[in-house]
Amino acid sequence: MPIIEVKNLSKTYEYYKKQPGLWASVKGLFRREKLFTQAVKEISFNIQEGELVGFLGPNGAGKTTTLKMLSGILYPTGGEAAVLGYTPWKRQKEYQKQFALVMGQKNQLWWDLPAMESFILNKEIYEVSDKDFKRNLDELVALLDIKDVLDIQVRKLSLGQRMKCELAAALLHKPKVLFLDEPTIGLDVIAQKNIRDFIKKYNRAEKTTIMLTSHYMEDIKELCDRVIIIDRGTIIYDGDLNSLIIKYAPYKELNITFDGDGVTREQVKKFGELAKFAPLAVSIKVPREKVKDVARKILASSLPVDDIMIDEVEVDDVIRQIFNKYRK
Amino acid sequence: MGKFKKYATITKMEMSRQMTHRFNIICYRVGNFFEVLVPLVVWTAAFRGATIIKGYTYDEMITYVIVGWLILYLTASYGFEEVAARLIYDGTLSQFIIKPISFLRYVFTLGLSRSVMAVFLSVLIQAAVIFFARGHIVARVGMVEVIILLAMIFMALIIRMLYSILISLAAFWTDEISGVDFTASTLNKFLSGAYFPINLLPVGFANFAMATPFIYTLYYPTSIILGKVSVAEAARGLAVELLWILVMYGIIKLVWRAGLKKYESVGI
Repeated sequence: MPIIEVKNLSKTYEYYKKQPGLWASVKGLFRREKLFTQAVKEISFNIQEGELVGFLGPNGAGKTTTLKMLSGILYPTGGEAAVLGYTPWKRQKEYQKQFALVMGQKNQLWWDLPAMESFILNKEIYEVSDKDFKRNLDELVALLDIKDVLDIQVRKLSLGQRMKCELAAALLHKPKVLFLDEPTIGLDVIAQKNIRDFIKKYNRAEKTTIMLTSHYMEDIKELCDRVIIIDRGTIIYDGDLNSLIIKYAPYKELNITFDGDGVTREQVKKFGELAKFAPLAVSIKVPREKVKDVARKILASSLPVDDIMIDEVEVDDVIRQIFNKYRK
Repeated sequence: MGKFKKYATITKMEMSRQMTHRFNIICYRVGNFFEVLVPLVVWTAAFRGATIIKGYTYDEMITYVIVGWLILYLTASYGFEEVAARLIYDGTLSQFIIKPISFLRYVFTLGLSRSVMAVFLSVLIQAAVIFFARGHIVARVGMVEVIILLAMIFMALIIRMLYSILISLAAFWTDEISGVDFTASTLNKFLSGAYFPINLLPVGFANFAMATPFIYTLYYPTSIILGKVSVAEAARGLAVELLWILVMYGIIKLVWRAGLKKYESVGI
């Protein structure tokens, strides 16, 4: 039984057109044009317990809207969904106690007070026992390394520390499902890595089902075995990341550096499609099945090879390619 | 009992938070002091030419101002409308939709807790003023009246909180509630008799004012203290207050439902 089941889920927003300019604003007082935008168009997918799934797409693709529907914040305009057997938008208490939502750009912690106070509030809201609270808190504090910041006012913390505290606050009641909306947005490289490491460890240890949205490839690459790509409200790929790469990038890159005077274009052209050329450094695209053969041939040849590497195509390039293909 | 623990926690947290802004709160109280000074000065001048104005002697009027404003401070909202409205503007409301806690109850608790420190200071200042003006204070109350007063003031506080919540719900439909807030709060103050005793108004307007819930935050309790209202009438006043609490609660529930629908359709 999948933990998350989504069938033909749709969401259309209505909004008013706001034209620029003063006269338009005045006109707008009397008559406004109502427009509709289809944020999510009949998407379907299932997620099993313990999966860590990435929801990837450009801004405005419908990722956050989907998460909001699955947490019960928004009512869908069509379709159905079930999480842990519950219909999210019914907002039943029993469901609410079993999931958590963390949005990268919003905080639930009280700004003027230390994070610990907000933790205690969550403890009471979710009715966590004293024993469980202490145990969960100790585990999270250790995993996230936030022992020293718990008693400092949240507004004095750095963005990275704050994000860690937000995650801790959300996990104190040991939810079975965790929705993360852009959890690493705005963080520096080190903070991003810390958050990613934590999510991965937590998912492995607790088998919490995690749905993570991001427009950072790094998040998806590091964390998710399975990725759902969404663009303009529609799912354009749902499967594991490796298959994605193999399907959409059926080649690998041979990156070779040369000694001495280097090589000419003619000398390397025959091995494959030249992605980059410089006399001392070359990048060749070779079909996967052939890449070892080609590498062997180059090493066996008379070319002054200094170093040779077989690299995976950048996932970013793959994704970009997919988006471009679907936008045409 | 477990269900109410979270509201006790919220109260503690809000009071802690207020402590971190103590300088700001003290500054506000200084301003409140001057607010009370104005009518005192004006009435003192007015009574130079008369012994009784609209049924009030000078001492009664001084009592009206000083004790009346004390009661007003006990039941005031202290800028709570903007705080609650901001929760709607910046989408924090979504947090309450997904957690097992009621936004309305949270906001109500917040409102009450916000008042604690402000009221403490206000009462301190007013008590000092009462002490200085003790020669002029008039109080014609017995045990029964005191009990009625306590109940009346407590319910007036609840009415004010409900009213503030209603004002803050305007945030569902407009980007900026400061206009709504200002007018609604000023109306509240006006009809409470803060600027002058209600019976100074022409009969029609006075009757209208008496039918609103706002008189219970100043005019009505102060009239009881001045002995201008019989026990029977005061008891009736309590019943009307209770009715108002139920009515306002009902209105809030309706407005909340409509507002929530609007909130979702815009997708904050």
